[in-house]
Amino acid sequence: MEVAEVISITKPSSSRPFEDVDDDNDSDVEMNNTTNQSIVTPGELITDDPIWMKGHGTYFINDKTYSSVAGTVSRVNRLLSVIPIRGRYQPETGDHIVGRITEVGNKRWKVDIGAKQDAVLMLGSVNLPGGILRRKSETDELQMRNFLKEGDLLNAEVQTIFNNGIASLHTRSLKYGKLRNGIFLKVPSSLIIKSKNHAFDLTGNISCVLGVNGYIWLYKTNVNNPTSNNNNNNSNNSNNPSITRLEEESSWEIYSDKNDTTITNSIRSNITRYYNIIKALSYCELGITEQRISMGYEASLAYVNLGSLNDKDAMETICQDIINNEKMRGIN
Amino acid sequence: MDRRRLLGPLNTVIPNIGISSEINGSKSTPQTGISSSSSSNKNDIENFFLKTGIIENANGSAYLEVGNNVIEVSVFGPRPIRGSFIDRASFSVECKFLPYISQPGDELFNTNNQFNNSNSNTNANGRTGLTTIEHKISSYVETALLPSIILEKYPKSTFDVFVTIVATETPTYNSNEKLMRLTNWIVNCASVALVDANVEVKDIVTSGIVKSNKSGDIIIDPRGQIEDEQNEQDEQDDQNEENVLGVASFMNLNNDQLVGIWVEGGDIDQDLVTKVINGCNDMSKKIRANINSFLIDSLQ
Amino acid sequence: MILSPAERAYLYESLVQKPAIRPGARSDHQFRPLEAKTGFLPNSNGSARIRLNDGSECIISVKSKVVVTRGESSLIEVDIDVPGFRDDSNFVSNLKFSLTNLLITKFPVEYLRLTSKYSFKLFIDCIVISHSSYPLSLISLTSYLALKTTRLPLLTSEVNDEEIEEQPTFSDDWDNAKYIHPTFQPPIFITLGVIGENLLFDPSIEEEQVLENGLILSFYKDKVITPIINMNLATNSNNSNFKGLNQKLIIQSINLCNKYCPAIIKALDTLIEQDDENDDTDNHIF
Repeated sequence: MEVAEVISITKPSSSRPFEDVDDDNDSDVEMNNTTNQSIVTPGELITDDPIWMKGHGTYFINDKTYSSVAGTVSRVNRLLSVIPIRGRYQPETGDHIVGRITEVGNKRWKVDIGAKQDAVLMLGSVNLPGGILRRKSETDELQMRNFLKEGDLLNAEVQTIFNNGIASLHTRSLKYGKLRNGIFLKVPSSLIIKSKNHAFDLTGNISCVLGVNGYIWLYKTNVNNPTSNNNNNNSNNSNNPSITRLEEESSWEIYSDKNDTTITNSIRSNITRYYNIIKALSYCELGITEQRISMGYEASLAYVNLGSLNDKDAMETICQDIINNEKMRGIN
Repeated sequence: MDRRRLLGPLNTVIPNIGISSEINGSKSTPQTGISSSSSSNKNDIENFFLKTGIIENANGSAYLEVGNNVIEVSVFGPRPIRGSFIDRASFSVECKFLPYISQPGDELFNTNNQFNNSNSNTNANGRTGLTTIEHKISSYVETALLPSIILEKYPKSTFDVFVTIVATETPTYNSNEKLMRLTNWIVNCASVALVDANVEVKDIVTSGIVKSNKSGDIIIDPRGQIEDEQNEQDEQDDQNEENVLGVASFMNLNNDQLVGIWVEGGDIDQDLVTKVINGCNDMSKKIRANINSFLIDSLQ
Repeated sequence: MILSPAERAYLYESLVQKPAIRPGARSDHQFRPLEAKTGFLPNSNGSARIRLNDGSECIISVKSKVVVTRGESSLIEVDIDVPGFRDDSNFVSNLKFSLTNLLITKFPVEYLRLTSKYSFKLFIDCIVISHSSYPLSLISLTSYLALKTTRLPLLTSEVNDEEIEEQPTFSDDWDNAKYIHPTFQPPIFITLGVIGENLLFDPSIEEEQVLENGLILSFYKDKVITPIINMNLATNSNNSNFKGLNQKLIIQSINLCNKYCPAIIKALDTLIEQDDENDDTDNHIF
């Protein structure tokens, strides 16, 4: 029996394989200059030019702007801010996120979204059984725990950010709501690259909600209700306007805790495959996108034994494959 | 009322300290669980004395004497919890030796608890700073009882079981054996206390203890004597290592589900484990039969 | 840690399949990959550190002291520190009981005897810097590495000091220091999760939430030994799947450990050899 089948014990290594990817292209001096300019540490002087407006992650003394976090400098028009390399998720309006209910309160739920404070989800910001046009009643208030309770996972959109920094969420769309038929995993939110679409279908009958906050849900593709944008087409094709469909779908089922009974073992192992790919991307600190997950899937097909994807070497190989693949396709 | 002193609750019961078990276990009272009387057979279980409902403040309680071990268990609950919502009750067991009792294995395991020990001795509320050994017993009892209680029936509630060890056997033999023997009887006593508290349970958990001798035979309910005989002939430490000791707890009416297992001592293989489990099961069944008739008697 | 009902159901259904489909696609008997390093604390006789990918980490230091054998109840003392838990909490106390019990009963004490009067006493200090799943097997694997690489100074005085009043003396040269015993293999703990008919080695924290029971076995000299205990591995959570065990699974767990644990010992020994080879060239421990 192979030892590697049971356990892999390695020495700690400080070198990451991607640090020297581009080393052979340019002279080192030039490289260093460009990188040094954009990465700052706390207390470092960014500029002494007073025309800049001070954004997040900065402070100023006597017109001089310093960084208050370790991260990359971002200049948007005249706004100067430093985006921290690590740190908690900072919610922004419109972000598609995955969260977990932590508390049921007065007409609202508290939701853990990996930010500094728990977000709130108001009772008025969710679809209730019986359709969108229904008024919220006192009965609804009393049975809030029947809709969503502590521990439940949901995907939602950030509706607004209150003055105190707390995010307010809503789930008033069919693509949001309670999550079923799959598994949850967490990656640092800084690795998630914002894009138009954070919910997508993948090869192998799997769908993914890639929360901007780094919370990810992998699940079996719902046959009746594909996650990707083409469900607009579906509803347009049918005679009824989308509101009617919403009403139908907004029965108690949207708050059901029951998984599909037909999740096959091949779907389950596909989910674990994607799980490992996302873990690998996170281990190598590569930004996570739909495209990279798909490329990782292809690269992972070389591994018959999925369990071997837990090892450092395998994770690094997969990520190297993805980077090579991107170079070939001329992305970046 | 004397306001200058800290008084106990008004309906305190003062324990009958100093009355020996022989007097208490007069073996004819209906509230006494008695196993078969002859002690000549090695595989018989020692007589034990059992009484319920001795603590009025608790929702349920049980008192058990076996050999020189004296155990008292009180159950508090279901009690409401404050704070966040839980859909099933939480359950905890806390086990304490009375301060003057030497704990088996004290010198080995309670090494840096000297501070805590003196602390808990002087502390009036007495509910802080369990020793390592007390924690170990608590964990075993909690693990063993947990599957039997229908916690779903009690949302937003908590059950707390407090075990007090009033007396233990004199340490004439191996401290592990003493500790495990005590644990075994605490499980049995706590089960009865849960029934006395009218907690809804799937089954009454009962436990057995066995020991293997050198030839690999199983002795049910070892009481130290066997080893004493050996010790006279053999080198002490090395022989003790050879014996395998096992405590196992079961839900006998639920397909003999094994809810707790703790095996210590020498080398082990499949055969021996099977024997240990079966031996414990036999003993647990005998104790269960006793407890059953005790419970039926006490209802009549 | 709380999981949603749908998550629990999905995870449970996946884990009771034959073979179990674990979240990271590990096979039933596969451990999570470890990063380990030994001998990095210059003031200790032996030290080791193990880290998991999820950030779980344990550091152990072994120190020795010369004591009069007769005055000690045991020659091994274990202390465990887990941030976030009080030292007298049930969690820490049970870890401490388990490790102390295993080492006291299974450690060949004769290796620590110096002379007829004096012995080494070992102080094993464990810090669990971070952990997600039940950390006992993490601690015990680290203690394996630490004890196996522990070096004790060489005795230069007489072994038989029955008639002599002086204390033992040691060689000044640290290079003469010796390992506890060339063939010594410390005992280790293995945690197994029980779910359906499956036994899962080294369950992760997510898996622990849906397990029906947990088993802890000890392994020493190429076979399973006592103590064997069961426990609820999901600490601080309300595990609604927790129930009794089927006796057959205990037998099965012994067989599985006998089959797979030699590989763990082998992997640990290989790491120690590698650490020995490039002692000076490779200094980073992080």
